[in-house]
Amino acid sequence: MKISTYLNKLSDLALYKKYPISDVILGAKELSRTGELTLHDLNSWPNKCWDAGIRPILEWDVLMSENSFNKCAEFLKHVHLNHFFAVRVQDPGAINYILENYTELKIQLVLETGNHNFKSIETWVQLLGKRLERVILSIELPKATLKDYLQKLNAMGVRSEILGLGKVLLFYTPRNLLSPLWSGKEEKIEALATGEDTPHRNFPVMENFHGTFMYNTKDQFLLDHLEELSEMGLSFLRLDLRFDGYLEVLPKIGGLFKHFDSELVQRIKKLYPRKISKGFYKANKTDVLFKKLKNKNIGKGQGLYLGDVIDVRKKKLMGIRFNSTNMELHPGDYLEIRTPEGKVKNIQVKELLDSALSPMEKAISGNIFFMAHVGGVSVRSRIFKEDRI
Amino acid sequence: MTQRIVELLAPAGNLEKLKVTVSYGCDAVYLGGEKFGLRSAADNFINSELAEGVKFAHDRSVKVYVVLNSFLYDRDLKELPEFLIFLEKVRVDAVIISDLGVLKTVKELTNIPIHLSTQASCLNVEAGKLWKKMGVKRLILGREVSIAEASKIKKATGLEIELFIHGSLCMAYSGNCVISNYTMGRDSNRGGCAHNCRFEYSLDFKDKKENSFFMSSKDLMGIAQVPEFFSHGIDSVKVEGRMKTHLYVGTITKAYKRAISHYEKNASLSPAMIAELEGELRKVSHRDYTEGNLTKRADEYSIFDKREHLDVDYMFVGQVVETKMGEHILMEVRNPFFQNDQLELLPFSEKEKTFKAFPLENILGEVVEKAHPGMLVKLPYVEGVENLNLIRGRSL
Ligand code: SF4
Repeated sequence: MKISTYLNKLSDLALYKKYPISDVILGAKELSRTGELTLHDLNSWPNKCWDAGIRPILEWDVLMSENSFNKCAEFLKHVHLNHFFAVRVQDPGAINYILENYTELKIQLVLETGNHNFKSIETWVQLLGKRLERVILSIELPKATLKDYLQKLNAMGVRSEILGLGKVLLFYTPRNLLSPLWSGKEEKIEALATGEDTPHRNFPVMENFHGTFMYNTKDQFLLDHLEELSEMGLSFLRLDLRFDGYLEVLPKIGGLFKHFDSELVQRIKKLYPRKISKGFYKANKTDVLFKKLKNKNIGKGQGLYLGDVIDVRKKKLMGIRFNSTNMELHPGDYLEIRTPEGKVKNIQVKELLDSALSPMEKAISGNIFFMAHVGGVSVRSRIFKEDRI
Repeated sequence: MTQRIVELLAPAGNLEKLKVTVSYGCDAVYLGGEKFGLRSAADNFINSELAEGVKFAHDRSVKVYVVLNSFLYDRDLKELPEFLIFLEKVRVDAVIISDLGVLKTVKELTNIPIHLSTQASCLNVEAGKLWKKMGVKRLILGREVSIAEASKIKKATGLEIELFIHGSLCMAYSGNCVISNYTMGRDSNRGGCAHNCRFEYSLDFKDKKENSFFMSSKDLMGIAQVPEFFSHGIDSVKVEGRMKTHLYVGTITKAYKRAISHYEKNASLSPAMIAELEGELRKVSHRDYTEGNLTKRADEYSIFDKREHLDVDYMFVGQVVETKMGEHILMEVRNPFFQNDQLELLPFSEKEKTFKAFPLENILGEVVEKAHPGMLVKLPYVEGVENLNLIRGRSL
């Protein structure tokens, strides 16, 4: 397992060279969400990276509506792309553009948003074919899933990467959300945001040329799991070293890669300037809570859905809207009634009444009909016609 | 002069709302089954309701698109084939997807046309070309795309283009917000969005602090842009709101249908008509309106820097479920009102009609002073009333 990281200062190359950093990501303001390099940097730094034995990767990770896309494509024409090992893209437009216009350039595909099923990843891999250099997977994949995917990717000969250390992007919009509150003229505006009624405080928010970004209050930190990730077959761990004090931390991380030592991990944690978390690495239960929002009780019933209870005069009548178009209801038929609380009542229809409370021979689609109230049945109960006579 | 047709696509949160929006004139509806869609808290359709909904819509020449735009896990994909086979059997007109795994499964198992969800953030010509290679028929473009940009994407790809025209806006690039995931343990890309962008935040800029709802977007309203949707060849305009009320769905559908039909016939939409329709759109619950990115990049005025509130001048009091010509209207009550209140009937295409809630009786023929949700009431007959018409009243 190797390290990829960002290169913001050319002088860092000398340091990177000493540690197992194999790839550096170069981001320019025009193409990268947070990059600050100039065109001159993009065109002069890659050769220096190669000289240091480190592969330069061009970051083109902004999302672009058509007009912005055209500006990026124009900018790209001025970049010496053949000096880069690969380009890193997320926008499907950028993917297609590189595929069709720069046929020699390798692609590192960012699949960090979504792509939580292997079929999706596999389809991307097939689409990019030989042009694909690696896939960058979502840090929302829990360990067990990640392990499974890495096994499959390795079997397909596809390299992989995840974020192992660094800020976690929570939100990305092209709109300028901070500048309306800020009178300065800076290109980059930063603030810490604390939402009402939340234990989470101080979300870093940053606005720049591309819009506004919000990050998690805790950074991703997977250095405790280096050995495990390596055994699982992860090809690259990305370390975002863009924090104060990284010069002190990097040698220790380098040491970890040579020889894992959990005490060293603890020392790194102490030096790290921000709060940390393993995110969803251990488990991802983010779909458990919201399932409770649904009313399961009201789902399927025995038999065919007929309609809903829309009026209840307790101990007297209940009114039903007949929704189904494919059936009729007659006195003597059997119904199953499912209440919103989950109670189930099975009854036989004795009498059907219309809105004038006169007897009906049958009820059909579109009718509102009435029958004797069944104890416990409330408005919004669902009616199913049972298949028995 | 007859123009080419722009499809009005409306939300159907459940079977009742489907019937409302179809009756008020939409050309197509989108809806979700019990799983695989992004609105976990919406009522959604069980299969038998979905089949009923398709029949109701198709009988009236209205198309039905089913959302499968959640970012699915492997285990969900295993459950998908059965549902897809059902959807093909009941002849839905398209499925809306955002995930390549879902797209592949749909293509392997069915011939159902595929619409790319806005959740996939398709924003430019090149992205459109890529999705075309993948076999999608329609692109539902990201809400960051202008009408003019959408037109370029259409010309370059030859695909059908759908744009949002009305409703709540997600502030983030769709699919690129996971605030709920990390702060609430709810996956926003699987239907669990907790709307953290609507919260008030205290912002610390180091040398100053500011409290603001800085991430909350105003709602989109594109009624004034209807002519541009036509002139740029946009195929379908979509109203957001599967979670919204019957009154919302009915009112919005009716207003946009009027605008589209009028433009289709006359190739113009007068400022007076736009003002009148905007007035109607302001009668339903909404945040302040913005044109979003439809004609220019959404600026600072697109931010709804206020606490959410649901104050509206009008409320949904009920829906007509039966009419007895010259005798009475039977109405299902949705919000409380009193005998003698002034109510407004919303016919499907005619102008609104005001009437007095007198007499007001329950189904047993007893006079009631106050109507409550969850009951049926008899109201005086109003000329021109039809089954499924909505009735609104001034908010209390
Ligand atoms: S929190 Fe707001 S911006 Fe984020 S997904 Fe939900 S609606 Fe969109």
